Order: sequence, then structure tokens, then C-alpha cells
Amino acid sequence: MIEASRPAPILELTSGKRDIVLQRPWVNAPGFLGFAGEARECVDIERLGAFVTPPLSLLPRTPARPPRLLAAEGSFLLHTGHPNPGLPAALREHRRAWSDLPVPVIAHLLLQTPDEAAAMAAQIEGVEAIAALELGLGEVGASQAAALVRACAGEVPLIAYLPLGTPVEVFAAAAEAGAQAVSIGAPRGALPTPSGALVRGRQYGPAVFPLALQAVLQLAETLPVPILAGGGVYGPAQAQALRQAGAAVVVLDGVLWTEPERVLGSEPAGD
Amino acid sequence: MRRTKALVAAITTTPGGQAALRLKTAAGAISAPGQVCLACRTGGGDPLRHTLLPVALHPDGFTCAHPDGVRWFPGDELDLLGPLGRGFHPPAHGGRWLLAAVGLPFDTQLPLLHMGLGRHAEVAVLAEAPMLLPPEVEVVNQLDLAADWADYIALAVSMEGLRQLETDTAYKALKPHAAIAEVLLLTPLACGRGVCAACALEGRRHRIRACTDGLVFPLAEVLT
Ligand code: FES
Repeated sequence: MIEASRPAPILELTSGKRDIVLQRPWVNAPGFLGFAGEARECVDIERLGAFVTPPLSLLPRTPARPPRLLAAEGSFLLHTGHPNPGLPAALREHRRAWSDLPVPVIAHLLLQTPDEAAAMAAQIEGVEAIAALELGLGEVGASQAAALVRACAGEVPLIAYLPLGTPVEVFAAAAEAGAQAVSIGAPRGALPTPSGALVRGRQYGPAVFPLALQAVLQLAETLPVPILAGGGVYGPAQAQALRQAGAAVVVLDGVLWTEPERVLGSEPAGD
Repeated sequence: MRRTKALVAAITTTPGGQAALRLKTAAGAISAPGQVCLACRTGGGDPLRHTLLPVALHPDGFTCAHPDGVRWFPGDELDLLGPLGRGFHPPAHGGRWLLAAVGLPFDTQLPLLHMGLGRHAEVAVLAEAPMLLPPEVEVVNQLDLAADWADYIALAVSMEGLRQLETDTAYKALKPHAAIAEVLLLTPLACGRGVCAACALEGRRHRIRACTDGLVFPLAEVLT
């Protein structure tokens, strides 16, 4: 009997000890699908290549002061402060639900210092439910990025997550330091409130897309590792363009809260 | 909460003179005053869903305040998420209802006002500005007296307005009546499903999210 051949994976990352395999070219942006239970209300999780947890810090974090959401033409700004119960509590509360998901789980870590990064990575080493770490490096320079990535090196594959607008050298330094892939995160932006105060935060929406595409084109020329990229993807044409520019995986954000089936129903071709 | 389709039937105005949208929806899109929906235009690539705040409920849909910045036209199909929240829980029959919208257009409270009249309640409105109301509604301007009179109080206030309200001497008169008061907390909503924390609020006992735990809360739960 001839066995039907499985389609080739979209992305395989290995640390040499553990691997993550994505069968579909989609992941959610961190924080857009909650911890797992709420995610099922937004999308059919099986359509994702992997599920990314909300940003997790070592210690619990409370929400930022309002306003946390500002809208502009074609985009919106979120400034939530990444509230979360802290990594130990999140692992206690959610690891079972993560194990039950039909796709691999990537834990997104908010990193500040190498010591803290090492402590967080160590807590995850033995957790089977987590297949990879996405390292939220923030707005850092090349040497700091490299130090944070090295601090997390261990059993689990690492994805370095840096905001759109980060210089190519910083992405390259993270890859050089041991990240098996890079992810282009939401750019930082600022908007005035009606009273004139400025709010800084992460920017999302279709207006971000041209910048994201340009970043993928630049990084794909230089980096030796796969790229996960999103930013303003609201339809199949944008996803296709990112993949053709060199993104291995497309990161979905706002569309998960509007009409996810517009993108998740399509499977874009790679380059 | 579920996703359904709605149709923009007309662009109109609220009784308070604000721009409004008349929507035709599936049954149950909004089932109680104080509930809201989130919507985007089908296939329109809206960056986010917009919050639709009903100002009138109809058998085949509702009329809502026109969200800022949207360009929807009659005939447009909307993708509706909702209803969000549990809505107000006023007395089933009669009673003395005091309604107020603090720092917001009163239009938001009109569905509750009409429910009150339909339930033969005596309805009083705390007016921040002159407005056109049915003749059987009493307009009051002294909160302390009105709060003593009422056996049910329903407020609408923005999240920022809530904290100002706590320090406002006039509104301190409400504290002793918190047990009979509910508040509709209006805040910008992003996901509407409790995942993004855009609407998070430190409640009296624990952290709450307006979109999944509200948007109507017992006043005692959100006063600090
Ligand atoms: S709107 Fe996202 S948690 Fe409430």
C-alpha cells in the first residue's frame, strides 16, 4: 500500500535537543489570542502553525494606565503594559491547556536583563508543553540583543523578536548569538489623546504593512535564519507578498479580532 | 457571544442630535439595554472592530451612535460580534428609576429609559444639559435628593470619568446608594473577548475586563 506523503513542513527549528515543526504558515502575534481558552473563541487554532502565548514576564505585571487604545487612520495603537501573572503562575495555570492544543506552543518572554532571561529560560527547560521560546528583546542594541539570546540558550529553539524599525545589525547579532529564527514585531508609535497627552505603544493595522514588507525584503537579503513577519496583514494578498519577500511564516494580529477567515482560509505560496 | 451579519439600513440621528446608524440584525444581536456590539465592515479591512452603542432597540435590529471615523453607508454589510456584556438589570415591574449619563451624551441611556416606561416605572433623569424627553420623565438636577428618592440607579460613565466621579463631591452622594446602583462603563474595546487587556480595570475585589465582565457593573464593585 502506498502511504500518502505528508506535505513538507513550513518551518522546522531545532536547538539540537528539541525541535518545533510548523505545518502551516501562520502564527498569532503575542497577546492577540490570550492564554488559550479565549483563543478558541477567535479562531480555529488548528489553522495556525503554532500558538504564541501572551507576553510573559518573570514577575506579575498590572495593566498600564488608560488610555490603552487609540485609533488613527488605517491603524491603532495599543499600550496595555502587557499585564500577566508572571511566568511561574502562567506555567502553573496554563501548561495543561497548552499541552492539549493541536499545534505547538511558543512562549513569548519579555526580557530585560540577561540574568532574568536565564532564569526564565531555565524555568521552561523541562516544560514539554512549550516547543520554542520567542524572546521579546525590546528596543535594544546589537550587543544587548546578543547577550539576552545567549542567556536563554538551552534545550528549546529560540526566536528573537524585535520591533519593526530595529536595525538589521541587531537582528543579525541575535541570529549570530544563537537565535534559530527572527520575528519582526509591531513597530513602536505614539499618538496624541484628545487632551493632547502623548501615548506611546505598539502600532497595528493596514498602515503598517508597507513598512513590514520592506523590512522583510531587507532582512531576507542578509539573515541566515528564517523570518517570521507580520504587520497589517488583513487579506491573502498581503500574506502572499510577505511570503514571497522571504518570510517563512506570517504573523497575524488585528485580523484575528476582525475576520480571521479572510487570511486563515488561504495558504500563501512561498518564494 | 457570537458573530452574525448586520445591514446598515440608514444613516440617521439620535434624539440628542448625534449621527447614528440604523442597523438590521439577526434576532438577539442586542437583548438588553447596556449591551454593546463590536462591528467591522465585511471584507472591508477595518483595522479593528468599532463599538456600537445602541440608542434604540427595534424588533429587527437597533440604532446606534455613529462610531467616530467609520465610513459605512446604507447597504453595507457588517460583521457583528455580540452582544457583549450582561446589560442592565433593573426591577422587573415599577419602581423609581434614576438614570444619568455622566460626561457622555444621554442617548446611551435611552433604551433603558424606554424599558422603564414600558415597565410602568417612575423615571427621573439627572440632566447635565437640556434635552428632549418624553413628558412622563422627570428631569432632576440634585443628585443627593434624587438618589434618596430612587430605588434603582443606572449610570453611564467613561472609564476615566469613573475615577473623576469618585472625587466629585456631588457624586459622593451616590456611595450610600451603591447597593441599588449599576454603572455602564464605556471604554475603548479592541478584542472584545478578554484577551487584550485594553479594557482592564482594578475592581474592588479583583481585576476585571469591561468587555467580558461588564460593560454594566454593580456600582459597589467598581468604586474604590
Ligand atoms: S477589549 Fe480586549 S480584553 Fe476587553
